Amino acid sequence: MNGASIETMLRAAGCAALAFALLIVPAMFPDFLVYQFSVALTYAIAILGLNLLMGFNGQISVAQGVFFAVGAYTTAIFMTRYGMNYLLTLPIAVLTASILGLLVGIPALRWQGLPLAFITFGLAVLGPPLALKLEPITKGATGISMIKPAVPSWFSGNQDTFLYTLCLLGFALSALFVWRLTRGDTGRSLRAARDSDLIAESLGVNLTKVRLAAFVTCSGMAGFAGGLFAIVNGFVSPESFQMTKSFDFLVGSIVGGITSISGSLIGALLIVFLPDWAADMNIALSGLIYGAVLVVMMLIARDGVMGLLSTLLTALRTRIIATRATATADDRLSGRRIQI
Amino acid sequence: MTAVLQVHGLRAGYGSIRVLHGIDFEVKEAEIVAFLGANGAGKTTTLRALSGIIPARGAILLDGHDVIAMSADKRAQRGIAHIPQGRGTFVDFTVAENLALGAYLLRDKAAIRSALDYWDDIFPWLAARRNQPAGSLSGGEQQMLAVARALMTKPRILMCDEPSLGLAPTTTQSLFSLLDRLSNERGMAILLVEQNARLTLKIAHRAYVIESGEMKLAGSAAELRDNPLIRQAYLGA
Amino acid sequence: MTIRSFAKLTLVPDMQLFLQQIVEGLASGAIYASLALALVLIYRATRIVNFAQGEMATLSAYFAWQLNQWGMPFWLSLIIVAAVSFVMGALVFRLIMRPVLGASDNTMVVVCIGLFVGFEAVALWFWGADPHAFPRIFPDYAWTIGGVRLTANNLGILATLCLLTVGLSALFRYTRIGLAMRASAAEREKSPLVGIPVENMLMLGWGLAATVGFIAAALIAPSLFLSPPMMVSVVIYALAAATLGGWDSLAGAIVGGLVVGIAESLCATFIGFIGTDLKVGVPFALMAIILLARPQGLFGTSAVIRA
Repeated sequence: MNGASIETMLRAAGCAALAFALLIVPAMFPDFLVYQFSVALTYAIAILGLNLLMGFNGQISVAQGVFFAVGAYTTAIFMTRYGMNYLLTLPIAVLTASILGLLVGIPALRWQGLPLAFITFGLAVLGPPLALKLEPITKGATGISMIKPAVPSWFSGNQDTFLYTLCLLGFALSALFVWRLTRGDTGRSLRAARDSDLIAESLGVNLTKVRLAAFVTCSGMAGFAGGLFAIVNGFVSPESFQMTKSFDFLVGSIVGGITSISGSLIGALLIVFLPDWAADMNIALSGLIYGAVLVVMMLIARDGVMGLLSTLLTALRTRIIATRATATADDRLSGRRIQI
Repeated sequence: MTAVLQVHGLRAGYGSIRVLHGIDFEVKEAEIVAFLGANGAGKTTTLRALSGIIPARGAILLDGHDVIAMSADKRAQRGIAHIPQGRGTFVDFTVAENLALGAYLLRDKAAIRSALDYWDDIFPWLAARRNQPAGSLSGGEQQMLAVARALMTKPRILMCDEPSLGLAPTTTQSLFSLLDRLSNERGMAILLVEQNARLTLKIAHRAYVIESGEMKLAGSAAELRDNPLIRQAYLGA
Repeated sequence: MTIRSFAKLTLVPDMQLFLQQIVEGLASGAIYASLALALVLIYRATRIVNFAQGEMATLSAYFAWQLNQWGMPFWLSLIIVAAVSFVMGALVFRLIMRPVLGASDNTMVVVCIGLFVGFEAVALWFWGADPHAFPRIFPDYAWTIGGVRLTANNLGILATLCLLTVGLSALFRYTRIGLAMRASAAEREKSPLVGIPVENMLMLGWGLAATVGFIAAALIAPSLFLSPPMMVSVVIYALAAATLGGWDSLAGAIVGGLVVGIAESLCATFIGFIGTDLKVGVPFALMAIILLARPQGLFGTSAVIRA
C-alpha cells in the first residue's frame, strides 16, 4: 500500500459516493427539486463541453449559452412542428449545434486568445435578438411549449423522476465520453495544442484539426444539453438564453474546476441554486457572489473546487508517505520492522 | 581596487526548481569578469537574480550595501545595469526612445545631453537612425544600442548576458573592443556572461566557471586559458 | 464609391435620410468611441483588456449622480468623482490584477468578467434597477443644416473625445512618464532594468483609464439614462470599435467608434433584415471581418493581440 494507491482508492470512493448521491436524489427530494436537479444535470453537460474546450484545449468561449439555445430550440421545433419523438430530436440538436460550432470554429482558428473571447461574447449578445428575429421558426418572444414525454410503462416513478433519470443517463454518457477523450492520445493532443504550438507540432499534432474538433465537440455537447433541457423544461424562449447564460456556464466551469469532470456537477449545482437562494435576500447578491467567486478563484484557486480538493489529496498523500518513511526509518534504527 | 559587487551564497530558482545553490564571487572596479559555463548552468539565472528580475536569497553587496531586499527598479537606481539575453533593446521603440528609456533615471537635462553626445561620438550611426524602431537594426547594432542604453546613467556595474549570441565574429570583436574600452577609459566594472570562452578570456581580467548552479572554478583569465579542463570543455582544444 | 452611387445601390432616393442617419451614427458612434478610448488606454498602458471598464465607469457615474442628489453642484461632483475613479482604478489593479499579471490571457478574461458582473451587482445593490435621469453636461440645443439635425450634445461629446485623445496621445508620445507607461506595458520584465517602477506605472494606467471611463459614462448617461446595465450594451460596440481601430491606437479607437456607429445606423435603416432588432450584429460582423482581414486594426501597428 502506498500513497498513490490510497489516492486512487479515495478517488474511486469519491466517484462511487457521487454516483450513489445522484441515484438517490429522486427518493430524497420533492418533485420540484428533482426538476431543478435535472436542469443542473443538463447544465453540467454544457459545462463539461466547456471544460473540454477551455480546460483541455485552452480556447475560451463565452458563447456556450448560444449553442445550448440552438440545441434547445432544435428539439423544441422538431417536437412541435414535426411531431418527432423527443429522443430522436437529441441527435439532431447535437448536429445543429455542431454545425454552428463548425461555422464559428473555423474562423476561430485565427482568433486565438483575446479575440476569441470578444467574438464569442458578441455571439452571446447577438443570440437573443436573433431568436426574436427568426420568429417564424422560433415563435419569437412567445416561445415554444412542448408536452413533456410520458412515462413509459416499465418505469416505476413519476414524470419528474423519469426525466431526472434521462438527464442522469445523458450526463453519465457525456462524462464517459469526455473521460475517454481526455485519456490517451486524444487528451495528449488536446493538451499539447493548449500548452504550446511548437511542442504540439513537434509531436505531430495537427493543430487545426484538434482545435476545430474541440470547438465542434464543445458546441455539440452544449446542443445535447440544450435538447435535454428543452425536454425537461417543456418550454423554450429567448428569455432563458440571455447573454448571462453563457456567463453562468463560464462560472460553473471555473468554479468546478476547468479540467474536472465531477467539477462540472459542482459548477452546475452552483449556477442552478445560487441565483434563487441569493435573490431571496437581495436581487444583486447573486451577481456579487458570481463576480467575487470568479475573481477569487483566479487569484487563489485557478483549478476550481476540484483543483483545491486535488491539492489537498496530494498534500495528504505526501504527508502519509512522509510519516511512513519516518516510521520505517525509526523502526529500522530501533531494530524493529512494522508491517503496514 | 575596491570591489564594486560582492556576492555571497546566492541561491535562486524558478518556482520549485532551484538553479543556483549558493555561489560567491566579486567584481572590482575597472575589471572585466567573465562568467563561463554550459547551457543551463545558471549563468543567466545569476544575472537575473542580481538585477532583481527573479527573487533570490543570499547577499548582494553593491559598494558595500546589501541590495538583496530591493526591487529591480531600485537596484537599477543604485547602479546595477543589466543587458538581458536576446537583444536587450526595447524592440518596439525607436532608437531615440531606447536612449530616453536608458536615461529615465536622469533628471538633469544637461546630464542627459552629455550622455547622448558621448554615445553619438562612439556610434555616429546612432544619430541617423534616431527615429527607427530598434527592432529594425541589425543584431550587432542592437547590442551596441543596448550598451549605450544601459550606460546612460553611468552605472556602477554593467552586466551583459551573452551579448555575442547570434552575432558575426567581426561584430563580436567590435562589441568586445567596446567593452574593453569602457573598462579601461571609464573604469567600468563589467560582468560578462558568455558561452564564447575564447574571445571572452581575451578581454576578461578574471573568470569564474559555473556548473549546475555551483561555482566550479575561479581565477585570472590567463590561468583559465591554460587550464586543461577549460581547454577541453569550452575551448575545444 | 461616391455617396450618390452608394445611395443608388441601396435604392435610397432620400439623401436627407441618408445624411441624417450618418449624423445619428456619429452620435451613437461617439458613445462607443468614449468607452473604446478607455479600453484602448488601459490596453496601451497595461496590455490588459478590461471588459469591466464600462461597469466601473457606470459605478462612478452613480457616485456623481448621488453626490449631485445630495445637493453638491454638478461640476464639483464631476471633479471629485473623476479623482475617486482614479483611485478606484488604481486600487482594482493593485488588489486584483497585479496578482494575476503573469497568468494566461484566459485567466485575465475570467477575472475581468468577474469584475464586470461584480461591479454591475454593486450598482444594482445600492441603487436598484430603475433608470435615473443624469444631468446634462451640454446645453439642450440643436441646429438644422440642410435638413439634417445636429445637437450640441453630439458635437460636445465629439469635441471632448478629440481633446481627450489629443491629450492622451501627447502624454504617451512626448512625456517621460508616458514613455515609462508604454514601456511598462510592452516590456514588463525589461523596464525595471532602466529604473522604471513598473507596478506603479500600471497602477497609474488603470487609474487614468478609470477616469477616462468615468468621463465616457458622464457623457453617455444623459442620453441612455443611468442604470446598472447602461454600459452592457455599449461594451460590445466598444470592443468592436477598439478592434477595428487597432488596440494600440488611441485615435483608432475614436475612428473605430464612429465607423461602428455609422455602419450600425446605416445598416439598421437601409438593410431591412437587420433593422433595429439585429443591429447588435453589426459590431459583431465588423469585428469578425477585421480580425480576419487585418487583425491589427486599421491604425494598429502589429498584431498586438496574439495568442
